[in-house]
Amino acid sequence: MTTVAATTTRVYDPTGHPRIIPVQPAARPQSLEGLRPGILTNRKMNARALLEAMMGEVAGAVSLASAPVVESKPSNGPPIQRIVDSMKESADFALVGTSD
Amino acid sequence: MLHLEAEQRGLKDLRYVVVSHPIGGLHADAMGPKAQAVTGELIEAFTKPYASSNGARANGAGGAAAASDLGRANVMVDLPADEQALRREFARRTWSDGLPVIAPTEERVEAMLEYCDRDPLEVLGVIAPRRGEATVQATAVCAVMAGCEPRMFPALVAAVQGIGREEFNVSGVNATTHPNTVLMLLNGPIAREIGAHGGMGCFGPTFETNATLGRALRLVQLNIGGATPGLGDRATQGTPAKFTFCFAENEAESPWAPFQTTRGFSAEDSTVTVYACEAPHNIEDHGSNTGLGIMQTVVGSMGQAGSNNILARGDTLLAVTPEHAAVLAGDGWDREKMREHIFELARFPADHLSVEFIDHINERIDPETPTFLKDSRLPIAANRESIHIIVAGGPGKHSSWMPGFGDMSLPQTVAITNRHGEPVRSIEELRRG
Repeated sequence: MTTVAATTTRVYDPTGHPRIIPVQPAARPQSLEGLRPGILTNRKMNARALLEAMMGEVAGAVSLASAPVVESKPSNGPPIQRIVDSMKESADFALVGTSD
Repeated sequence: MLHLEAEQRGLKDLRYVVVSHPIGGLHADAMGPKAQAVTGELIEAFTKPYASSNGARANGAGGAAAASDLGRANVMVDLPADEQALRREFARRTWSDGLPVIAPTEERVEAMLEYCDRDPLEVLGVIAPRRGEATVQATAVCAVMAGCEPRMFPALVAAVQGIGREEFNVSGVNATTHPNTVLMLLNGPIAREIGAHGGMGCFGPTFETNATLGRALRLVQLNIGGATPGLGDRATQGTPAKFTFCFAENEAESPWAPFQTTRGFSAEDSTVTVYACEAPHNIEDHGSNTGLGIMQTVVGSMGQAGSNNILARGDTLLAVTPEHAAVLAGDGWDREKMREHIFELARFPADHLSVEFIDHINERIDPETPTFLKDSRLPIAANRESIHIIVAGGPGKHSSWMPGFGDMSLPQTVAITNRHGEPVRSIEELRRG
C-alpha cells in the first residue's frame, strides 16, 4: 500500500490578536499662527535641547503666541496627570519626545 | 516601533517626525541642525488634517489586562508540512527566535493545557509594544513552540501575568536600547516538581525546564508582544540571555529563607519572579575566607560604571553561590546586613565620570535641582529593599550580579494559582479532570 504524505500542516498563528484601545486624536489646526506651544521632554540626553531647537525652528516659520511651556516626564513611564492637565491648560499644541 | 504601538492605541495615522541618531552623547548645540532638517515635516505633522477616521476601533477593555476579560482565539493557518520548509516559513514570518520550533498544532496546544484550569481565552496580560493579548491559548502556543512539557505550563502562566502588570513596564522592557532580558526565577515546591534547576551551571544549557520555559517567555514577548529585534525591540546590541533565562533558586543549599519569603509569600508558596535585567556578571572570589572579605569583592563588583543601575538606580539582583553563602552565613551575614552593606558601599564616585554624564543622571531625576554633585558616590539601587539576594549555582566560588533596567521596571513575583487565584501546592491540583 502506498501512502501519500500530507503537504501541509495546520498550525496556530502564534501572534494572537492585538488589543486596540480607543484614543481620539485632537483635531489638527489649520495653522499654528497665534497658538501657544508646549514641549514635553522625556529627560533623555539632549531631549530638551532638541525639542526646544525644533520649536525654535517652528517659531521662525510661523508667529506663535508665546514662548513654549516646557514640562518633563520621567523616562520610566507615561506623564502624570498633573503634567497632562497643565499642558492642556497652557498650550494649544505640544511637541513630545520619545525614545533615545 | 512608535508606529507599532500607536496603531494598537487606535492612532494608526499618528504623525511623528524621526530625528536621526545619535542624539545622546553630542553637545547640545549639535541639536540645531537636526531640528532644522525636520522643520517643514514638523509643521505639516501638526497641521495636516487626518485623512481617515484614524485608527481601528477598540476591541477590548484597554489598559492593563483585566484577568477576568476574555480575548480572541488564535487563528490557524496551513503551512508546509516539511520540517525544513515549515522552519523557514516560521522564520520568514518572524514567528521564531531563530531556532527551530515545534509546530503548534491543535493537538499539541490542547495537550499543553492539561495542567491549566483556566479558560483558554482568559487574557493573562497585554504585551506591548504590539499590545498583543496573551491569552492562555496564545501563551500555550508559544510554550509548544519552545518545547515545554505541559507540566511546566503553570509557571509560564505566572510569568506572563507578571510581565503584564503595569509596574513591570513591559513596553519599556521590550522596546529599550538597553541589553535587558526577562529573568524568570522559580521558587517553591512546584519549581522542584517540574524540574527547574538551581544548582551547578543553572544559567547554562541542558536543563530542559530552564531552557524551554525561558524560551517560551521570550516567544511570548516576540510573537504576542512584537518585540522583534529592530522593530519592537530596539536593543542596541541585545544579549544572548534574550534566548532564554530561567532557573530556580537553590533553596536546598541556601542558608537563608527562600527568596519568595522576601516578597510577601511563604516558603510553601510556589512563585515565579520576573525581573528585567542584564545577563549575569561574574563575581569571582576564591581567596576570601570571611564574610566581610567576600562582601568586599561583591560591592567592588557591583559598584561599577556603565550599568543602568548607576544611571537610574531601581532594583538589582545578587546571586550568591552556595559556597559564598555558607561563609557569609557562618559569619553572621543575612540578607538585611548584606543589603545594608551593598547599598552603602557598592557605589561609584561621581568624579570618575564625565560632568555631562552626571548632568544627564541628574536631569533624569529632577531637571531643576541636581541630586548628585561632583563629590557624590552614586548608589546602584533605589533603596536597600531594592537589592535582591538569592542563592544559585553549585560548587565553586563564582557568584554573580544581574544589573537591572533601572527605575523603569519593578520586578514582579507571582504565585502559581488556580483560576480562582488560590495558590496551589502541586501542579496536579491544576490538572483537568
